[in-house]
Amino acid sequence: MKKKAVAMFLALTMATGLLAGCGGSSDSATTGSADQAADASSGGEKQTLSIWLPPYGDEDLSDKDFWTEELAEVAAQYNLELDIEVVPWDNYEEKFLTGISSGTGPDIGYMYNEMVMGYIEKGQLEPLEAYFSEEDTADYIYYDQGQVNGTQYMLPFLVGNPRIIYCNLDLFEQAGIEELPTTWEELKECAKTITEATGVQGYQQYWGGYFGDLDELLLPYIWQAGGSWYDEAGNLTLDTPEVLKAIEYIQSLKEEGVITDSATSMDGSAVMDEFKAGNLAMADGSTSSATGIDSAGINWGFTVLQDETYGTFIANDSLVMMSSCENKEAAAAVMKAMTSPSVMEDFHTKMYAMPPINKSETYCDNEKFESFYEEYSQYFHSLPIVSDSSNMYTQLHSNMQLMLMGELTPQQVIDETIAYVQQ
Amino acid sequence: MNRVRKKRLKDNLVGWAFVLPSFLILLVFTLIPIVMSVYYSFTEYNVLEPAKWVGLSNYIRLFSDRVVVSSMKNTFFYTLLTVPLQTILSLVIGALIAERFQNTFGRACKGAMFVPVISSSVLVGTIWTMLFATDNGIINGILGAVGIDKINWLGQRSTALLCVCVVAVWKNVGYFLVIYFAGLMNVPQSYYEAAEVDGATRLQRFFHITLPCIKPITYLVVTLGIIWSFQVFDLVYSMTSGGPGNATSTLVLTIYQKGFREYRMGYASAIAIVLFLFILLVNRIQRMFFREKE
Repeated sequence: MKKKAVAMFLALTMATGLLAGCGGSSDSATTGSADQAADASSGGEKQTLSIWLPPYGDEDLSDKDFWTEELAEVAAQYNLELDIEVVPWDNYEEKFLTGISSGTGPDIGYMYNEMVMGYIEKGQLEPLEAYFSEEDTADYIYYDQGQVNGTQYMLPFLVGNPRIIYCNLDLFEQAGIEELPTTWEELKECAKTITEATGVQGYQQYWGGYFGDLDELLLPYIWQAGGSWYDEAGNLTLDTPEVLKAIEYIQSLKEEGVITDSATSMDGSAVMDEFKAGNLAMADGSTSSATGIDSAGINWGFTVLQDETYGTFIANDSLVMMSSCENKEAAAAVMKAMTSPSVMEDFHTKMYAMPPINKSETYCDNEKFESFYEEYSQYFHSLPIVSDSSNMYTQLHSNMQLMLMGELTPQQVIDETIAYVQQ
Repeated sequence: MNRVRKKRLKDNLVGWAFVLPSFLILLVFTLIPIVMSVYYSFTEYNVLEPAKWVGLSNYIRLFSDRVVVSSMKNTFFYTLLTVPLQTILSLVIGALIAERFQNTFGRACKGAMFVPVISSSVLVGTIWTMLFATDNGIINGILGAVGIDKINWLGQRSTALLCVCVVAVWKNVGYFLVIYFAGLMNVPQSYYEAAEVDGATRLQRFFHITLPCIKPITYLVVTLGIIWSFQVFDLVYSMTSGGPGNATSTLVLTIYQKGFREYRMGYASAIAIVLFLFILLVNRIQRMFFREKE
């Protein structure tokens, strides 16, 4: 009898605990942060400010350690306890979506162009004009690029990493080619000549990955042809001669044997591995791949193609402030500190090599790209900020795969993508 | 009478108290999500805004959505190929070990075949992707040694899904083998001895004694196999991401893409409900089949 009573008590305790665990969290969290805000404003207990960032650190220096150290001064100044959370790339968007929708999102977030529009439309992002004076923004190079429909929602933070074509200079020399290709036709000719002269594959694309690979495999060709796939109002304008021309060119690469069948099963890292192993003369990549190529001992150069004009993709990732942030002045101060020249120099030196985002900042990226950034910056494009664009990119990527397998024509790629998105 | 009623009430309360923790877990993490999914399947819901009732339009749309239709076909193909193959292979290998190799070699075989089961699907997918690589893959290397041209295993419609099926069978056989082995060890030895006295051949003993005796095990293996097949996600995600085109996209992968990539939770819920109904239907048919044979 006694045993039964004890067992029953334990079972009921577990059940109560479960109910309490499920029901109590949001209330206590809200109360807690409200109290903290009150305490912090009265100079009492520290107020927590949460920041969500993607991973750029490594085993030697973690993102959390880096930012904790760099932001210690501003945190002390505003009596803040910084809660820095590093969100893995694999479920980056999901984490933001579920966090923000459940009221447990960050105060400051790191977002890229494909992400922001949905949050802006739902009023989740705070316009920044009120917190950034002209003096504050005078040193920023890309501040205006954070505007969406005339409102400053984003603070450009990581701008760079343009897509280029890496070339193995030793293989070019063996094939007797002195100039790197600069046009679409020259790319084909170089690839064919190198394959014939050296037996090494001249060029390869990778369509076996995910839709983000469009940034280097298709979108630059559309820009180079003088086209775009969204107009300024955010309408899909895929059915244009420029887009068709770019897609037809990709198809011709396959038909002429410049890229092989395995393009539909290879991803970016597989192609880059081939390039680093000296089994490929030209490969698409971003400037951040240069360190790895150097380590592999490849004698490399790079090129960007042109057709009607030059054009390539550049990453434009930004810091945003959430509307739900309770201490917006402090959040703005932290954002300013994060993007200050000294912190950015440290970030670009210790964490991720990129070009400066401040005029007074020292250039810390690979020296081979310094003049490229200066001379070509007007040809750099980032993705249009359009709501639900992921759906379109996913479908376009999938249809491009079907085209390379011979199941769709270039015009059908366009038509099918438009039809699917409209549906 | 009053005392009897009081005792019964007390017993009932004790029973409920024991069941309550498990029931609450089931309620919070299974029953409520199912009911919510059913509700959301009739709505347009992007998580950031309140759900908007759209009636049956998600269900009507999904049967004309070529991505979803293609995922359904792929899932059925995957199930039809993997379930029989892994069931037969695990039974045959299990029977072989039970009959011939109840020694160190047999135990080593069982252990080795169980390793893929406990390995992470993403890891397995990544390793097999390397094996199936067109240019430097080991499989094409071996084929090349005997004069067969390179095959673009994961990059063409005709072979991509087949490769995923092969990897799934390789990964699952060890698990079902252990279940079959346990079942085979429970078949009374006297049945075999009697059959042997009656002059039954090895094959006759297998079909007339072993198979009927392990029928409940087979039911379990087939049921689990079908449910796992309908739920396949991680292998496909790590090996092909559903490509090329939609050649390897499955229903669960599509649910993930619609829900967490395109933020169309209502539509994703509708596909999930259809998947749930498919599994329910297949399970009912399967139960009828096994009951009839009994």
